[in-house]
Amino acid sequence: MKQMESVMNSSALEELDDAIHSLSQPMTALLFAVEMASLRTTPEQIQDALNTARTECRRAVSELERVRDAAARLHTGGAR
Amino acid sequence: MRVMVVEDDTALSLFLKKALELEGHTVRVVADGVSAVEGIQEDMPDLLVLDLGLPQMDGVDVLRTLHDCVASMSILVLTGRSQLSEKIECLELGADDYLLKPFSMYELLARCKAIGRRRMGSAAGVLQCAGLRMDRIQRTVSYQTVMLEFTSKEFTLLEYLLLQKGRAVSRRELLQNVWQMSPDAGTNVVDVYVNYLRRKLGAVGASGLVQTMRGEGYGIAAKDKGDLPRFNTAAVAAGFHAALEVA
Repeated sequence: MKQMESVMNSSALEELDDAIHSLSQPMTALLFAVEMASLRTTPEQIQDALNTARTECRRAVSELERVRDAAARLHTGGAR
Repeated sequence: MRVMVVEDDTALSLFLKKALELEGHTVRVVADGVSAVEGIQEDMPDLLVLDLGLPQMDGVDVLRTLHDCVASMSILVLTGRSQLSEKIECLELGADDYLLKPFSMYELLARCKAIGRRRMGSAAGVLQCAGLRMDRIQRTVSYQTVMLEFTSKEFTLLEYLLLQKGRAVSRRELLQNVWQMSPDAGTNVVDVYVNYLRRKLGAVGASGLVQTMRGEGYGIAAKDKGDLPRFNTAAVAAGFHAALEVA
Protein backbone atom coordinates (compact mmCIF):
# COMPACT_ATOMS: atom_id res chain seq x y z
CA MET A 1 0.00 0.00 0.00
CA LYS A 2 2.82 2.39 1.01
CA GLN A 3 4.67 1.54 -2.22
CA MET A 4 1.56 2.35 -4.25
CA GLU A 5 1.18 5.67 -2.45
CA SER A 6 4.79 6.54 -3.16
CA VAL A 7 4.40 5.74 -6.89
CA MET A 8 1.27 7.92 -7.05
CA ASN A 9 3.04 10.77 -5.24
CA SER A 10 6.00 10.57 -7.53
CA SER A 11 3.73 10.70 -10.58
CA ALA A 12 1.89 13.71 -9.12
CA LEU A 13 5.22 15.40 -8.44
CA GLU A 14 6.28 14.80 -12.03
CA GLU A 15 3.01 16.30 -13.23
CA LEU A 16 3.53 19.34 -11.01
CA ASP A 17 7.06 19.74 -12.35
CA ASP A 18 5.75 19.57 -15.94
CA ALA A 19 3.01 22.09 -15.19
CA ILE A 20 5.49 24.55 -13.63
CA HIS A 21 7.75 24.10 -16.66
CA SER A 22 4.81 24.83 -18.99
CA LEU A 23 3.89 27.91 -16.95
CA SER A 24 7.40 29.31 -17.32
CA GLN A 25 6.95 29.62 -21.11
CA PRO A 26 4.09 32.17 -21.18
CA MET A 27 5.59 33.90 -18.12
CA THR A 28 8.81 34.54 -20.06
CA ALA A 29 6.89 35.61 -23.15
CA LEU A 30 4.75 37.93 -21.01
CA LEU A 31 7.82 39.54 -19.45
CA PHE A 32 9.30 40.08 -22.91
CA ALA A 33 6.00 41.49 -24.23
CA VAL A 34 5.85 44.04 -21.41
CA GLU A 35 9.53 44.98 -21.67
CA MET A 36 9.22 45.40 -25.42
CA ALA A 37 6.03 47.44 -25.01
CA SER A 38 8.04 49.97 -23.01
CA LEU A 39 10.25 50.47 -26.07
CA ARG A 40 7.27 51.25 -28.34
CA THR A 41 6.33 54.81 -29.16
CA THR A 42 3.17 55.02 -31.29
CA PRO A 43 -0.32 54.26 -29.84
CA GLU A 44 -0.80 51.47 -32.45
CA GLN A 45 2.46 49.79 -31.47
CA ILE A 46 1.57 50.05 -27.78
CA GLN A 47 -1.90 48.60 -28.46
CA ASP A 48 -0.31 45.70 -30.39
CA ALA A 49 2.10 45.04 -27.53
CA LEU A 50 -0.78 45.09 -25.02
CA ASN A 51 -2.76 42.60 -27.12
CA THR A 52 0.24 40.28 -27.20
CA ALA A 53 0.68 40.65 -23.44
CA ARG A 54 -3.01 39.80 -22.93
CA THR A 55 -2.66 36.64 -25.04
CA GLU A 56 0.36 35.54 -22.99
CA CYS A 57 -1.51 36.33 -19.75
CA ARG A 58 -4.37 34.05 -20.82
CA ARG A 59 -1.90 31.31 -21.70
CA ALA A 60 -0.26 31.73 -18.27
CA VAL A 61 -3.64 31.53 -16.52
CA SER A 62 -4.49 28.27 -18.25
CA GLU A 63 -1.09 26.80 -17.33
CA LEU A 64 -1.63 27.98 -13.75
CA GLU A 65 -4.79 25.83 -13.67
CA ARG A 66 -2.60 22.82 -14.50
CA VAL A 67 -0.28 23.72 -11.61
CA ARG A 68 -3.28 23.96 -9.24
CA ASP A 69 -4.63 20.58 -10.38
CA ALA A 70 -1.25 18.92 -9.96
CA ALA A 71 -0.78 20.48 -6.50
CA ALA A 72 -4.28 19.36 -5.45
CA ARG A 73 -3.48 15.82 -6.63
CA LEU A 74 -0.32 15.87 -4.55
CA HIS A 75 -2.35 16.92 -1.47
CA THR A 76 -4.72 14.03 -1.94
CA GLY A 77 -1.86 11.55 -2.18
CA GLY A 78 -1.72 11.41 -5.97
CA ALA A 79 -5.31 10.25 -6.55
CA ARG A 80 -7.07 11.61 -9.69
CA MET B 1 26.98 37.79 -33.62
CA ARG B 2 25.25 35.17 -35.72
CA VAL B 3 22.79 33.56 -33.33
CA MET B 4 20.71 30.41 -33.62
CA VAL B 5 17.69 30.23 -31.30
CA VAL B 6 16.34 26.73 -30.66
CA GLU B 7 12.93 27.09 -29.00
CA ASP B 8 9.72 25.18 -29.68
CA ASP B 9 7.37 27.74 -28.11
CA THR B 10 6.38 29.90 -31.11
CA ALA B 11 5.53 33.06 -29.18
CA LEU B 12 8.68 32.90 -27.10
CA SER B 13 10.94 32.17 -30.08
CA LEU B 14 9.52 35.24 -31.82
CA PHE B 15 10.26 37.42 -28.77
CA LEU B 16 13.79 36.01 -28.47
CA LYS B 17 14.42 36.73 -32.15
CA LYS B 18 13.09 40.30 -31.90
CA ALA B 19 15.09 41.06 -28.76
CA LEU B 20 18.35 39.71 -30.16
CA GLU B 21 17.82 41.56 -33.45
CA LEU B 22 17.31 44.78 -31.50
CA GLU B 23 20.89 44.33 -30.27
CA GLY B 24 22.13 43.97 -33.85
CA HIS B 25 22.52 40.18 -33.92
CA THR B 26 21.60 38.11 -36.97
CA VAL B 27 19.12 35.51 -35.77
CA ARG B 28 17.70 32.30 -37.19
CA VAL B 29 15.15 30.24 -35.30
CA VAL B 30 14.54 26.50 -35.33
CA ALA B 31 11.90 24.67 -33.31
CA ASP B 32 13.36 21.22 -32.64
CA GLY B 33 16.61 19.49 -31.76
CA VAL B 34 17.07 17.64 -35.05
CA SER B 35 16.75 20.86 -37.11
CA ALA B 36 19.19 22.53 -34.73
CA VAL B 37 21.86 19.87 -35.23
CA GLU B 38 21.39 19.93 -39.01
CA GLY B 39 21.46 23.75 -39.11
CA ILE B 40 24.61 23.95 -37.00
CA GLN B 41 26.42 21.33 -39.07
CA GLU B 42 25.53 23.33 -42.19
CA ASP B 43 26.40 26.79 -40.88
CA MET B 44 27.76 27.15 -37.36
CA PRO B 45 26.49 30.22 -35.46
CA ASP B 46 28.64 32.26 -33.07
CA LEU B 47 26.06 31.77 -30.33
CA LEU B 48 23.53 29.00 -29.78
CA VAL B 49 20.56 29.90 -27.55
CA LEU B 50 19.24 26.46 -26.71
CA ASP B 51 16.03 25.55 -24.91
CA LEU B 52 16.25 22.17 -23.18
CA GLY B 53 12.66 20.95 -23.52
CA LEU B 54 12.51 20.32 -27.27
CA PRO B 55 10.55 17.87 -29.43
CA GLN B 56 12.32 15.05 -31.31
CA MET B 57 15.69 15.55 -29.61
CA ASP B 58 15.95 17.47 -26.34
CA GLY B 59 18.54 20.16 -25.63
CA VAL B 60 20.88 17.90 -23.63
CA ASP B 61 20.95 15.41 -26.53
CA VAL B 62 21.68 18.29 -28.93
CA LEU B 63 24.72 19.17 -26.79
CA ARG B 64 25.81 15.51 -26.73
CA THR B 65 25.42 15.17 -30.51
CA LEU B 66 27.37 18.36 -31.16
CA HIS B 67 30.10 17.39 -28.74
CA ASP B 68 32.90 17.80 -31.31
CA CYS B 69 31.99 21.34 -32.32
CA VAL B 70 30.67 22.89 -29.10
CA ALA B 71 34.08 24.49 -28.47
CA SER B 72 33.75 26.54 -31.69
CA MET B 73 30.58 28.34 -30.63
CA SER B 74 29.16 29.87 -27.47
CA ILE B 75 26.11 28.23 -25.91
CA LEU B 76 23.46 29.75 -23.68
CA VAL B 77 20.99 27.21 -22.30
CA LEU B 78 17.38 28.13 -21.45
CA THR B 79 15.19 25.97 -19.28
CA GLY B 80 12.02 25.95 -17.25
CA ARG B 81 13.41 23.41 -14.78
CA SER B 82 15.78 24.25 -11.98
CA GLN B 83 17.41 20.89 -11.25
CA LEU B 84 21.05 21.30 -10.27
CA SER B 85 22.05 18.03 -11.98
CA GLU B 86 20.68 19.29 -15.31
CA LYS B 87 22.56 22.57 -14.92
CA ILE B 88 25.84 20.76 -14.22
CA GLU B 89 25.34 18.33 -17.09
CA CYS B 90 24.79 21.16 -19.60
CA LEU B 91 27.85 23.09 -18.39
CA GLU B 92 29.94 19.91 -18.57
CA LEU B 93 28.71 19.29 -22.11
CA GLY B 94 30.04 22.70 -23.19
CA ALA B 95 27.36 25.29 -22.35
CA ASP B 96 28.78 28.69 -21.38
CA ASP B 97 25.82 29.92 -19.38
CA TYR B 98 22.38 28.92 -18.14
CA LEU B 99 19.13 30.92 -17.79
CA LEU B 100 16.13 29.74 -15.82
CA LYS B 101 12.68 30.72 -17.19
CA PRO B 102 11.03 33.11 -16.65
CA PHE B 103 13.82 35.62 -17.32
CA SER B 104 13.90 39.24 -18.39
CA MET B 105 14.76 40.29 -21.93
CA TYR B 106 17.42 42.57 -20.43
CA GLU B 107 19.04 39.70 -18.56
CA LEU B 108 19.15 37.60 -21.73
CA LEU B 109 20.75 40.46 -23.67
CA ALA B 110 23.27 41.16 -20.91
CA ARG B 111 24.29 37.50 -20.75
CA CYS B 112 24.65 37.34 -24.55
CA LYS B 113 26.85 40.43 -24.39
CA ALA B 114 29.01 38.87 -21.66
CA ILE B 115 29.35 35.68 -23.70
CA GLY B 116 30.32 37.81 -26.73
CA ARG B 117 33.01 39.59 -24.69
CA ARG B 118 34.45 36.27 -23.47
CA ARG B 119 34.37 34.96 -27.02
CA MET B 120 36.33 37.96 -28.30
CA GLY B 121 38.76 37.68 -25.41
CA SER B 122 39.61 34.08 -26.20
CA ALA B 123 39.72 34.49 -29.97
CA ALA B 124 42.85 33.80 -31.98
CA GLY B 125 45.87 36.07 -31.60
CA VAL B 126 46.24 36.41 -35.35
CA LEU B 127 43.35 37.27 -37.67
CA GLN B 128 43.75 36.86 -41.42
CA CYS B 129 41.65 37.56 -44.48
CA ALA B 130 42.51 37.88 -48.17
CA GLY B 131 46.19 38.75 -47.67
CA LEU B 132 45.53 40.94 -44.63
CA ARG B 133 47.14 39.79 -41.38
CA MET B 134 46.39 41.28 -37.97
CA ASP B 135 48.53 40.32 -34.97
CA ARG B 136 46.32 41.17 -31.98
CA ILE B 137 49.09 40.68 -29.46
CA GLN B 138 51.74 42.82 -31.22
CA ARG B 139 48.99 45.12 -32.53
CA THR B 140 50.41 45.12 -36.04
CA VAL B 141 48.65 44.84 -39.41
CA SER B 142 50.15 43.89 -42.75
CA TYR B 143 48.74 43.41 -46.22
CA GLN B 144 50.79 40.81 -48.11
CA THR B 145 54.30 42.09 -47.27
CA VAL B 146 53.46 45.73 -46.52
CA MET B 147 53.05 46.92 -42.92
CA LEU B 148 50.10 49.24 -42.29
CA GLU B 149 49.74 51.94 -39.63
CA PHE B 150 46.37 52.33 -37.91
CA THR B 151 45.25 54.51 -35.03
CA SER B 152 43.95 52.71 -31.96
CA LYS B 153 40.29 53.19 -32.92
CA GLU B 154 40.90 52.17 -36.55
CA PHE B 155 42.67 49.04 -35.30
CA THR B 156 39.75 48.16 -33.00
CA LEU B 157 37.24 48.70 -35.79
CA LEU B 158 39.19 46.51 -38.22
CA GLU B 159 39.66 43.88 -35.49
CA TYR B 160 35.92 43.79 -34.81
CA LEU B 161 35.09 43.47 -38.51
CA LEU B 162 37.65 40.67 -38.90
CA LEU B 163 36.22 38.85 -35.89
CA GLN B 164 32.75 39.11 -37.41
CA LYS B 165 34.08 38.11 -40.86
CA GLY B 166 31.40 36.66 -43.10
CA ARG B 167 28.46 38.73 -41.92
CA ALA B 168 27.17 42.27 -42.21
CA VAL B 169 27.74 44.33 -39.06
CA SER B 170 25.27 47.15 -38.50
CA ARG B 171 26.32 50.69 -37.58
CA ARG B 172 24.40 50.23 -34.31
CA GLU B 173 26.46 47.17 -33.40
CA LEU B 174 29.72 48.95 -34.27
CA LEU B 175 28.74 52.00 -32.20
CA GLN B 176 27.99 49.77 -29.25
CA ASN B 177 30.94 47.40 -29.42
CA VAL B 178 33.74 49.51 -30.89
CA TRP B 179 32.85 52.93 -29.48
CA GLN B 180 30.86 51.74 -26.42
CA MET B 181 28.21 54.29 -27.39
CA SER B 182 24.44 53.99 -27.42
CA PRO B 183 23.34 52.36 -30.68
CA ASP B 184 20.91 55.25 -31.11
CA ALA B 185 23.58 57.94 -30.90
CA GLY B 186 23.08 60.29 -33.84
CA THR B 187 26.62 60.28 -35.19
CA ASN B 188 28.34 59.36 -38.44
CA VAL B 189 31.56 58.33 -36.67
CA VAL B 190 31.29 54.75 -38.01
CA ASP B 191 31.13 55.89 -41.64
CA VAL B 192 34.01 58.31 -41.09
CA TYR B 193 36.23 55.59 -39.60
CA VAL B 194 35.30 53.03 -42.26
CA ASN B 195 36.45 55.62 -44.82
CA TYR B 196 39.76 56.02 -42.95
CA LEU B 197 40.22 52.24 -43.03
CA ARG B 198 39.40 52.05 -46.73
CA ARG B 199 41.80 54.87 -47.57
CA LYS B 200 44.67 53.10 -45.80
CA LEU B 201 43.76 49.70 -47.18
CA GLY B 202 43.27 51.20 -50.65
CA ALA B 203 46.80 52.59 -50.61
CA VAL B 204 48.15 49.01 -50.58
CA GLY B 205 45.58 47.63 -53.05
CA ALA B 206 43.07 46.24 -50.55
CA SER B 207 40.34 48.85 -50.87
CA GLY B 208 37.63 46.24 -51.54
CA LEU B 209 38.17 44.42 -48.25
CA VAL B 210 35.60 46.33 -46.20
CA GLN B 211 32.31 46.10 -48.06
CA THR B 212 29.15 48.17 -47.68
CA MET B 213 25.95 46.14 -47.48
CA ARG B 214 23.17 48.58 -48.25
CA GLY B 215 20.66 48.71 -45.42
CA GLU B 216 22.68 46.27 -43.29
CA GLY B 217 26.04 47.89 -42.52
CA TYR B 218 29.62 46.88 -43.24
CA GLY B 219 31.37 43.56 -43.51
CA ILE B 220 34.40 41.58 -44.54
CA ALA B 221 33.70 38.51 -46.67
CA ALA B 222 34.73 35.16 -45.20
CA LYS B 223 37.44 34.30 -47.69
CA ASP B 224 41.00 33.44 -46.68
CA LYS B 225 42.48 32.97 -50.14
CA GLY B 226 44.94 35.42 -51.75
CA ASP B 227 42.36 37.23 -53.86
CA LEU B 228 40.27 40.01 -52.42
CA PRO B 229 36.69 38.91 -51.83
CA ARG B 230 34.32 40.00 -54.57
CA PHE B 231 30.58 40.42 -54.28
CA ASN B 232 28.21 39.98 -57.16
CA THR B 233 26.33 43.29 -57.17
CA ALA B 234 23.00 41.66 -57.99
CA ALA B 235 23.48 39.21 -55.15
CA VAL B 236 24.42 41.99 -52.72
CA ALA B 237 20.84 43.20 -52.97
CA ALA B 238 19.66 39.75 -51.94
CA GLY B 239 21.74 39.89 -48.78
CA PHE B 240 25.23 39.51 -47.45
CA HIS B 241 25.33 35.73 -47.16
CA ALA B 242 23.90 35.18 -50.61
CA ALA B 243 26.62 37.45 -51.93
CA LEU B 244 29.29 35.39 -50.18
CA GLU B 245 28.12 32.23 -51.86
CA VAL B 246 28.46 33.84 -55.30
CA ALA B 247 31.90 35.32 -54.57
